[in-house]
Amino acid sequence: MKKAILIIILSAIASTILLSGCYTQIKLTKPTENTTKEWEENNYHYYDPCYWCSPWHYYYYYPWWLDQNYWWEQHYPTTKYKAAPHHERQERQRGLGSALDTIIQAIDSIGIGDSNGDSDNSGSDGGSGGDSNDRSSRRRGM
Amino acid sequence: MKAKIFFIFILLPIIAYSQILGGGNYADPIPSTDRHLPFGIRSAGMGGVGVACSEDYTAVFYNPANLSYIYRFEVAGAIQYDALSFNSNFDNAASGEGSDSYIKLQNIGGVIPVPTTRGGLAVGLGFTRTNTFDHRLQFEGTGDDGILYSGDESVKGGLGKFSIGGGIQVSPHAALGMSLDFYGGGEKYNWYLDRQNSGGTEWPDSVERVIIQDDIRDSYSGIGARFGMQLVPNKYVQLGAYIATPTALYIEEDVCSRTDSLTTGWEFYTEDNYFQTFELILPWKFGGGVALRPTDWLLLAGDAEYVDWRQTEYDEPTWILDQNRLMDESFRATVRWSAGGELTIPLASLRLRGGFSQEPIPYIVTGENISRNTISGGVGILIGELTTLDIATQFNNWDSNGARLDEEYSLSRIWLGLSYRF
Repeated sequence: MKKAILIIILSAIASTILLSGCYTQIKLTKPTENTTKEWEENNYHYYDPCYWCSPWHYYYYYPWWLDQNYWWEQHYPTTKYKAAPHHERQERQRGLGSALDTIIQAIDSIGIGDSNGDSDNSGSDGGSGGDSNDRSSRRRGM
Repeated sequence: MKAKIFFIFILLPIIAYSQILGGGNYADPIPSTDRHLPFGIRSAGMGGVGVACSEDYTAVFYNPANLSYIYRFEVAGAIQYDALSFNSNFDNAASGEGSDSYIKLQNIGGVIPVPTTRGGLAVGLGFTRTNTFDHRLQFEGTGDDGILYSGDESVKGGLGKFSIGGGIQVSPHAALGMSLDFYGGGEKYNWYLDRQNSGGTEWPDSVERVIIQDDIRDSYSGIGARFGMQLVPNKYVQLGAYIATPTALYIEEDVCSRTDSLTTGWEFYTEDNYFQTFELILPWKFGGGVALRPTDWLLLAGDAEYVDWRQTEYDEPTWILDQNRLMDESFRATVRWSAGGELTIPLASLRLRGGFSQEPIPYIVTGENISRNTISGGVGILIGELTTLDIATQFNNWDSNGARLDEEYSLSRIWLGLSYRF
């Protein structure tokens, strides 16, 4: 058991030394346009690009972080639930507000119309016809 | 109890393996020191090379520094099929031949590379089988003295390790890495020996029949570590090296030993069941490799590993420490080496592999082929851009002449694996 503990302690020390290596630079941000070029210049000095077998070269030596931009760009949020642009959201809300106003006005007008309708109807029943201000709207309440 | 232990640990292995020279006190054969397996199917196709040229998750087993040159996520696995043929001769009185087969998960693992702007950093983890214990032996026949022998030995199991490690490039031309290895495995051992004497009248020949039947189940666990370094001076040469620390193995053993003696007028039957544990320390391992890339479609590589098996020692329990003084006479230092190559077929998603390896038997044995020579071949097929289907095959044979039992083995092995990168 002592040997096992010793092995783990030595491994922890060694891994600390390894991770503090100064040559390798960890890149955890989205690659720029120059990243690929810089990376190839820094790293392909020990591999000859294989023009006869480029699929194998891609398989073994091409970094995923230069190839799969979705990791950086679409990691969050996804396209499916992408938020609408600000001006579009405003437009939608504006339209929604107008619709609500119209509905509310319609409901209000229904209530007013009902109270006035009886008198209008009674008036019209009198055959007087009335002026244009008393004329009831078509399909009211519809 | 002591007599039973002596029987199990000294007498039985000599009869069963018969690889130790007779006529003296010798330590038990230790299965975990022998019959090593290559790590990964690509390496298997190239004879077992990988210290300098491993380019997949098997770097965590061979040389963790090579992980730093892997730039894509990887998930991979392989299974292994063994077909074993054997011939045996016991005291020139009984002989036998036969075959057996075994299918096992060989390895499974993956790599997690970290994005870098310069250099490389990756973590690898996985399981691989390191040693196989599988073998079979049968013999039957009557000697000149009229005694009939019938024996049957079956061993199934192996040792494997779960490794987790990392590699990092520390300069434009060098990388370092390390891995922790957690060992596990088991062995199911069955031994049957039937000795019949129809005409004996004097002791011990007065015993007309003795039947021995032993069932032993071992389970292994352990820990070790490996430190690797990779040098890439230019695009034509790669140099790799590693040091593996001593491996501490904890062995739990469950034994059922039965002996049935029959003679005229009486029968004597004994059965012993007991459980015991051991701690075994396997020695340091030193390995190196070189890979040459003369062109972009050809890879040539070679590996060698040095182990002084005489430094194998038991740590616990106390009563077995006596075995340690016998190690020098029973084991030897070995250099296990392999060489192989990989040819990329131009304009095709195909890679052809071939290789050769030699593994000396760590016990001091007699016989013509005291090393296991293995010829390997393989093919890798790239499916789409990110998936490979790999097939490898190995053929080897070996023999050993013991004090009473001579053995000859021939092994054919097929590996089938799949790897996916993303």
